[in-house]
Amino acid sequence: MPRRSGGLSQLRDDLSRVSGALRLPWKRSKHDDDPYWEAFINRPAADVRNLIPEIIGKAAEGNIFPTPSELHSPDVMASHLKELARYLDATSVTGIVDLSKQDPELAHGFPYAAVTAVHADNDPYVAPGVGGQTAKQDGQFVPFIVACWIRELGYRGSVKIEVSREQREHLAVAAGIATRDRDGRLTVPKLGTRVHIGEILFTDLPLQADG
Amino acid sequence: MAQTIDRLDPTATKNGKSGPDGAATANVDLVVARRQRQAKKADSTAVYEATQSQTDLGSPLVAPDGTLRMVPDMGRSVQIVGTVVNVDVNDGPHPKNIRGELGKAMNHWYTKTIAKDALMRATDNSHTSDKRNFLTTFTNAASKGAVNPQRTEVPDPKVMSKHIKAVALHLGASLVGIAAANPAFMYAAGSRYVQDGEANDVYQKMTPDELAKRFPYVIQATVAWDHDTLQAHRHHIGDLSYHCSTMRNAMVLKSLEGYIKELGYTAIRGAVNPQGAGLAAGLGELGRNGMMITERFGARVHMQDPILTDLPLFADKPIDIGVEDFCKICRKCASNCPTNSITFGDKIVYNGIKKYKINWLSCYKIRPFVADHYGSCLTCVAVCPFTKPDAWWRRVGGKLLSGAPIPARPPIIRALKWIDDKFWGEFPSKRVRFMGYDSGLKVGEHACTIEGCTAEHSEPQQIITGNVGHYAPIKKNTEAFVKRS
Repeated sequence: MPRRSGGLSQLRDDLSRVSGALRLPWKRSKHDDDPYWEAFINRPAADVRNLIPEIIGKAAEGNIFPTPSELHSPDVMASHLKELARYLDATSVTGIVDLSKQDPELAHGFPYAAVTAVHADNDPYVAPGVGGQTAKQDGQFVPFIVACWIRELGYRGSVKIEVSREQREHLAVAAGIATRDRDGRLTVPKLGTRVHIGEILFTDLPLQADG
Repeated sequence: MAQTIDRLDPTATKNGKSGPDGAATANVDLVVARRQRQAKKADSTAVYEATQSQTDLGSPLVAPDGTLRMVPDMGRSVQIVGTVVNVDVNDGPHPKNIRGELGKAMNHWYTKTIAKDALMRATDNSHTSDKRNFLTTFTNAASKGAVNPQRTEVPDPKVMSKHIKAVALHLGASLVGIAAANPAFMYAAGSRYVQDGEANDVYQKMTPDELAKRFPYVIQATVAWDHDTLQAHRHHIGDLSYHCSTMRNAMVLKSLEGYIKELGYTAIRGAVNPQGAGLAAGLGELGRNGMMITERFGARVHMQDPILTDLPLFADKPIDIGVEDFCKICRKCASNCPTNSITFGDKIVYNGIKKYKINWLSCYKIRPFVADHYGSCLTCVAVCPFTKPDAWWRRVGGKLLSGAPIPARPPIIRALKWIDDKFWGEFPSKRVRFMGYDSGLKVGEHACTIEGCTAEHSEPQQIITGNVGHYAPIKKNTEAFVKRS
């Protein structure tokens, strides 16, 4: 069931929908006069090896540093993780899920997951062009580097576990970074409804969960 | 490659410095003036119709023997005044160091040390514990994708240029420009740079002339560094500003390279000197610190490996934002440089190019001695008066300078420099905190300074007040390391 929000959250959702639906008649898209833009967004790649999501998606994960670093308390580590994610992509929003409260099949043996939402001009699930995949690229960039940092800290951190779109969105809601509007669409307060949930980062780094 | 430019008086270029008397300088000025006239005359062909001008005999860019003249217009800050010998990419600081030509200590530091800090290991390719924990290992590798056999027709290169720039910005670039390819800013024949060493293609052995004719355009795109963390120059926090932007930049350029192939055109990397291409593409001007200084971000950009392509485009022109005039007066980077690697003097002619020449060796050689504190110095970037947040007041100052006629600029520059020194400090050392790092800690100290952290640390927690940052090495200590020239 889509989660209903109330009060200010409701108003925020409604404004987000209205701003997305309404377009002033004299305001044109900045790419309206670009004859190549449609193909950039929607034409499938002739060779997928030309796409960054393919390159990062096939990248191997490195080893875990053998000597674990000295950590701060879990709440501070969680804030550092989010600070790094925001630093890597200023428009991203990251939340942390306690996987012990989730389905064990979804947890894959990890205690925590970091969920990152990025701004998406186009939905990468329906726009296969190089431009259409930009949000997917951004949604890989942030978790990949954060996972590298966690492994270099001496803890497990993986972005290679297959997670479906539904599961990603479920985790985003569980992490408290997104809500469902009345139509069941995912809404991230800072980003509106034009969002993509990036790769889910599974980790055993001691963190304080959100949500 | 073929000599196509007048050689200067040898006394002017001996040891890379101008001769002691005024004759050599006058000679250089004469050649500069002539080259400027030529560049202006060649503008319409060299800059705007690169494809034709590079193949037609009689074009200002084509010598009678059919080779390209090396007279790219790179703006006021850099001029080609003599023979340019194309640089072999393997003669750069890092390749020399890898081969052990800079000494055992340097080689050991670069090739065998692992950073003590976890975030540095994840963001610095030469000091990571596992290359697979560094994203650019994958995004900067040789392209494996094929060129689309269904080529997109380009009836109007201007429209395609506008599109490519919009694409680069959409993919995450902060600045993008297009230059007409010229052999002067190509690497020497057969020396291509790709991180994984797999740039083996049919273009590998082409000479700079052949490459410039086969691929008439260069696309340079860059991602600006974060301003606030950069204020902790000579600190791991500042390193992050540089490393994170370069990781994103590598991804943006690789994505753009892939898109050009999807359009049905060839795109190759590792063949072009990034700064030369950036200057010709109008991204900025070359400063006294040897860095590209841009209109919006100052020196906080890194020119990465640009894309050389046969996609029909429309080249940009070099810009004049007043860097040439500012650097003559300012010298703030030279005052702050911890290794005295930046000259206080005038430009010199080096390899046929008149520019400010930094001492790259002294800049580079300090690194093993400070590796526990930082990886990349970045002081000259951070203190540059052009390096400011991309805010309205920054743009107003920039417009005031670039809009003024050249003779009227010196008083404006002195006023802007005075404001910069007053507000940002003559020797900036601001305290910066990021992800538990705190430059308020004295050099060599390690402690948690986060209020509310309840973890048990090996060093006692410190509460620091004030806004002063501490950065190694202290300037007075490095006077002994490298004497000011």
